[in-house]
Amino acid sequence: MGIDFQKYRSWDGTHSSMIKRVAVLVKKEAFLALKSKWVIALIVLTYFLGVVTRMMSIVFMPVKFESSFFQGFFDDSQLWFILMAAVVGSGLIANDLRNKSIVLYFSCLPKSAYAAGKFGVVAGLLSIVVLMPGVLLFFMALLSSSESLANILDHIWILGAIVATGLFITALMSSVSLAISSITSDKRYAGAGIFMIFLLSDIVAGVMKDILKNDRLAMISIWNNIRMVGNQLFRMKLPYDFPWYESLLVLAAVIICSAGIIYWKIFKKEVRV
Amino acid sequence: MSIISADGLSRWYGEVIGLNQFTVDIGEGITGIVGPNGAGKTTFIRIITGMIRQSKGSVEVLGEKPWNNPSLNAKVGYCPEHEMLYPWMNAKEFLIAMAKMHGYSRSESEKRAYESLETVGFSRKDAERKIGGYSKGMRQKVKIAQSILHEPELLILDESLAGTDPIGRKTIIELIRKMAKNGIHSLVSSHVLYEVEKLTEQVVLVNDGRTVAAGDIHEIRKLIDKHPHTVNITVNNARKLGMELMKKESIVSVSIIDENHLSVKTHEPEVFYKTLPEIIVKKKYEVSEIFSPDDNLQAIFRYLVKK
Repeated sequence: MGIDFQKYRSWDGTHSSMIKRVAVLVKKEAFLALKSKWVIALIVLTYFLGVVTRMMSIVFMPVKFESSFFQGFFDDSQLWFILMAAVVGSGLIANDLRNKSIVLYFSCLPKSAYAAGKFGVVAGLLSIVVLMPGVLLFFMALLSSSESLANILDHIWILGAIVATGLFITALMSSVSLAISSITSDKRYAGAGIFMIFLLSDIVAGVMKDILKNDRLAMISIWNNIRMVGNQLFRMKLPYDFPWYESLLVLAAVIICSAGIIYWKIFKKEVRV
Repeated sequence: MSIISADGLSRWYGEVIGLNQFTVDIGEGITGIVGPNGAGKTTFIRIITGMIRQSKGSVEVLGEKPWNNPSLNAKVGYCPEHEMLYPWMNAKEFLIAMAKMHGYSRSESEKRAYESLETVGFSRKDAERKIGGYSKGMRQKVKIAQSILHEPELLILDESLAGTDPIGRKTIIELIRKMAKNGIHSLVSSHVLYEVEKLTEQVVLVNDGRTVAAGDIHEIRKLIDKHPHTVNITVNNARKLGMELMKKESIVSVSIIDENHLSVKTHEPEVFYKTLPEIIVKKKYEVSEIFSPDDNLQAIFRYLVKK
């Protein structure tokens, strides 16, 4: 290989905005994730079980614009959401720690941009299975509905509930998975951790609630809290006997804790390579 | 102008000390930081690249504090010692992504990626192969290519010559020199002394987390006044010249190696180098070589760290 020196020169162009620079990271990581057969399988599964089967029921039995029909999608797809967060989120920071490439990101992006980019990746991919199917379901139900326009317009708030619930679940799961990914350099441990934190909290809450006969213990489960807030947004009966805002506080605490872990690991902690 | 200045810099890893009251002032151009493994070179580099914080003391790079300072990161090109590349990407994709994250446009990023790769001796064909299939030397070159991609003011290379083949090493050395001519300052760490010696005369010698010596290699040599300076001479009559030299006060000892070679030790090299030509001319000696092994960095380092 020959030696070919470049003429060193200054670049007179304008540097891209930080959003564009972060977008490069998001695009690169998202494309990489979408090459995974597990991610594709989870997307297909969520759409098939959550949207296609529901659409088939619409075809055979025209839908009444009831919030429970749409809220049911979030409840029934819980496992796929968790799996998606585990598969996509587990390696996002853990892989950078393992490959020691976090140093490279910090050489060209501020730490805040790095964190935002990683959050964007997991949130973007999660929204494909959390937010988009819900919205798709709403519009499909709208098209196949036999109800009057006035009646449908009366229920337009359901779209807001779908979007709000979808965004809330996406933000929560993204921050939790990113926080867990930042505390280990092994994506398998991170994946297991994400899965366990959602599933295990559900199991523990179920067992304790049954043994101690106390509804409040349902709060231990992250998903029970999501259900409480979701039911409130969909104007449905609350599944447990405590105020919905207590669940919102628990979930807010989970998000704050996750953000704290990410902040500590990325901004305060040294890069040990 | 001071490029990097550290004052009383200390860094502990639990009970282990990585840097101990490390004080240095690194100026423009190429500077080599030399020391055995575990001397504190990488700890110092990690502090000045903002990867870790010092436990004590102060440090400035290009007049700024390095910890959590993204604007400084944009001015520094860092080539770490460790592996940090994604094996599933090819070099071209990797560098384009890096350039885009630095804020360059798509076309400029592509241009820079290819130029940087060509600079370190990569062909287009190599650039499109997966990094996972590269040799250590090739991966080293990719790391260097990413460090020069964004026109840094300061290039920090941590053991970057390690693992490269002789041609690759020559390429990298020439690249650093070329960049220095273009006003890019470089800090090159190595535990292999002759590598740094080929690059620069400006060195910082580190051992046990401390600065052993810093400055021009010849100035460092002057510091070692108790350490006799050795000069090997190839001459037509070594014995006779040896006897002549022994009369001089500046000479500590003379060893006759054979009829044509002698080795002289002196505490005052400057006086010696002034008187030697006078003797040679006066007595009409035929000298074919005068060589000082002590000008070699290895010898100075060995003496300074008592190894």
